[in-house]
Amino acid sequence: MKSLSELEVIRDRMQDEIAIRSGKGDIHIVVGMGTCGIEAGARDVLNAFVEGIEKEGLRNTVTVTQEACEGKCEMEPIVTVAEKSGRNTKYVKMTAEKALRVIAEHVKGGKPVADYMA
Amino acid sequence: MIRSHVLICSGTGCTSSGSQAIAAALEKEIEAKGLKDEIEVVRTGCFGLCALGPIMIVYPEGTFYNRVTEADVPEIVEEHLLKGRIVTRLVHDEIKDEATGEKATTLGETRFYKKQMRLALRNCGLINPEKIDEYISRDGYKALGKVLTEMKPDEVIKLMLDSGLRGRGGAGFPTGMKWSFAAKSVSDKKYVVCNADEGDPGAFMDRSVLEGDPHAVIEAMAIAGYAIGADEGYIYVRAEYPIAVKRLQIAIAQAREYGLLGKNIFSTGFNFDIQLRLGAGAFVCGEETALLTSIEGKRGEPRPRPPFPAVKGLFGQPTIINNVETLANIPQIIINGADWFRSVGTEKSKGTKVFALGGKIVNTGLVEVPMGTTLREIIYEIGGGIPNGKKFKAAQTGGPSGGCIPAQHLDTPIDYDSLMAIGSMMGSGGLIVMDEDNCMVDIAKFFLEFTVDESCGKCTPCRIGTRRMLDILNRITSGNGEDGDIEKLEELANSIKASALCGLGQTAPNPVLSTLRYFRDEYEAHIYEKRCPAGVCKALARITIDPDKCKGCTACSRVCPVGAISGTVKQPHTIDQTKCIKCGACMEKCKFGAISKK
Amino acid sequence: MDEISLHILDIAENSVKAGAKNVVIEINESDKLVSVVITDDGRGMDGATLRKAMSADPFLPERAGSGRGIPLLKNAAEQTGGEISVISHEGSGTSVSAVFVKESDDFIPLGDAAATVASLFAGAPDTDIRYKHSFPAGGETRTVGYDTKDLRKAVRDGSVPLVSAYLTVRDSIREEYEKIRKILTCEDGGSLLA
Repeated sequence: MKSLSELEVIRDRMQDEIAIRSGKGDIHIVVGMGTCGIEAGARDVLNAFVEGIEKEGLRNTVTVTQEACEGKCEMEPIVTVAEKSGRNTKYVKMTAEKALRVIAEHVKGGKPVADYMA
Repeated sequence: MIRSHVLICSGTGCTSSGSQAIAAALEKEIEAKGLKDEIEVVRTGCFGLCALGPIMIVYPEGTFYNRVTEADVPEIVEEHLLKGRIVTRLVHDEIKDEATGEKATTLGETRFYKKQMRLALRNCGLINPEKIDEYISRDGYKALGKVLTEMKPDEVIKLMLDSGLRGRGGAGFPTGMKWSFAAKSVSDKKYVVCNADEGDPGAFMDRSVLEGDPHAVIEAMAIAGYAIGADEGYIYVRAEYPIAVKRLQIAIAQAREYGLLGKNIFSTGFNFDIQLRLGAGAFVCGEETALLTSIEGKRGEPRPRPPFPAVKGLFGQPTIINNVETLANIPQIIINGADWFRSVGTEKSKGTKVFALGGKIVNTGLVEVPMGTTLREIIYEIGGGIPNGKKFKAAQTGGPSGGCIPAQHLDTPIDYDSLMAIGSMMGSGGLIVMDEDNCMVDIAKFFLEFTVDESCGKCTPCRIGTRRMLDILNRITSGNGEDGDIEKLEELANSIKASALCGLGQTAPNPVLSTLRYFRDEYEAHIYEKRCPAGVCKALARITIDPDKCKGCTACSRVCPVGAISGTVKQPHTIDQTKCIKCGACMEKCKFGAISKK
Repeated sequence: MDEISLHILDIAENSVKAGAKNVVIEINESDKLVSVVITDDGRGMDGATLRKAMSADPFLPERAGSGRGIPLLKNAAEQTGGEISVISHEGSGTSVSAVFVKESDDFIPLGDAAATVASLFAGAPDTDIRYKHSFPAGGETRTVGYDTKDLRKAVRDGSVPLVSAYLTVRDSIREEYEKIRKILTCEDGGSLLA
């Protein structure tokens, strides 16, 4: 290994592979919050998710957070639902109303909402 | 896409219970069911709960299966992996919530793991030790990189001093100080040696680190080499650990392949490489100077100190020798800093300690707790207490060099100094629990037999002195103890401690001294009453008939080969102790449970 | 964007991405103007980067991280007759100021500042956010303020779930605005105000 950055490449790659063994972090709802996202209403989508999760009493097993822009500005607001099983579902053109259905059918029911996916 | 990892313990314990066959069967079944691209089988190091092995953990759920057999594999694959239905009969049986009766299903929820803090063992049971990439994912070799590119050797030593890390092999000498002595010694050739000889009976802490996380040791040795100015290292591992030897060989080869061992590591110009040396079964070679002598190709015998190895060690050059567990802590200390390490433990004993729980305890296995945890917490909360409802009598720490800790000291916080204060020592981590059915004189004899056998013979106090002590103990336990024996034992013990050449001899009398300190009454019973209170020493065991239970059926007297039993029909019988040969035939014959050995 | 608080969210997100440990959002409102200052202690920008950030086209749909935030803000402020200024030094941090003129037809309201601060909090695990809004109301200058520092610790050590923390931030700020609104409209039975 010639440099530390080579080590880092391996570490980053493996960390994703091994993440499944951490056995914690049930569901993460991540709302894209780059400029495009904010313009398209991502803040209110995040707000809707938080309220919905709180209402369903899932605050201890579901986190709602945000991340930077994806680069697909025309599809914003983009929301990714990351589950501990390793399944990541990406929803596009989300709204506050659509958030409710995602919570009901996907987060609670375990079945992703195909209509909202890319 | 891989959606599940099934972890199977591949430490020596579970392997001898068949975990490798289970892993192979699992892979075959997964392939047969077409799940190969979805499920990964991972062979890891020791999880620690050895009593319930073979252990299998399924992620992402974290389901904790114990006592798995090969026959269970088809069901696990069909029900759990395919259909998502946990096989409840194999799940670790522990109620998590008394109110709801809900069972604990993951490791972290069990009483065994709740109070543990796994630092040295952090990767054991989590990664595949035969894949260097998995070690790297856990910040592996990041510490070495940091040390080589951001720190100067004396800064590394200062960090070790500030952390307060003390040798985990038993002596508890400050690691930073040892390194600084070697760094100050002037020589163009220095060595780093890892003591992986782990000779204490009942100790398997180091074994688990070597089998479960060998790279931690390798990385730490390279860091040590940089700190003191050494470019060569030796790992002296006992040959009785074949799995550990194999894992080390694989790890060293993979590290070399990645350029993490060898020349010009991380392009910094630092060279370091490691060789393995196998021990040949001598306990004394766990003593550092005897170990060095053994690596040099000579008979393992200790040398007088000074000069200390840090000044004049392997092949006469400055050498540091560190224990496996000590080394396993080092990469994390480099990454997280001295303050982080100091935040765990007690005033003078920082960090954690790994203990191998054995003897009369429910959860036999490996645990790691912060220094300062009490013996009571380890034995009762983590260890699950004494099986069969028996009463705790004592716990032995430090193996053949240590002492026993009786019930009155159960609340002693465990650290180097507090254990010495009550007549024991930390030792390498073996913790043997004894209950009311153990005879303390017999225990002392067991350890002394071991040290007598392992004495190298070089110095007279150990070679002859311990043998004389053993002679006295043998007489005591065979019913031939005499008045004055206890005083003789104490005198011999103190003079051996003061004059023996190495740690083996100097500490061999400890088990005798500490059992005398807390259980003198048992010695006296053996000597003056010719009685073993625990009923262990066969020669002193008495077979007696309980007059309340005896129906006078005469069955026992008819079966006694020496005619030692007398009594009239329908009257309680008695045994003549002078004639009784303790064969036990009468006990077997009695239908009323009236005869017992005590 | 139709709220000033959405612009604030956008700019403050940049601060977080620049590694800021502290972000201060200060809004000073007079009868005629709204002045917004967002200051961070992130890595800052050198001269070239700063010039690029100020000059990017706000309407060009570009890739991620194109830095349209500042140009968008500039556009929004200048449309009302106001202006922005950005001071940044490499290694010290950045300060973005914007002034909006209230009378302008193109003036956009502050909007849901509480949701902005809460949103920022939820996505920035290692950053402390201080929010302060001073405005004239009922003949006096009122202030609504919030500091996320203590809540941050509780979230980090796991004693407060992130969802609850978000709601705490949002609702605490909303409550402060509500208190002032109640005073102004005499809902609490308090003194008569103009």
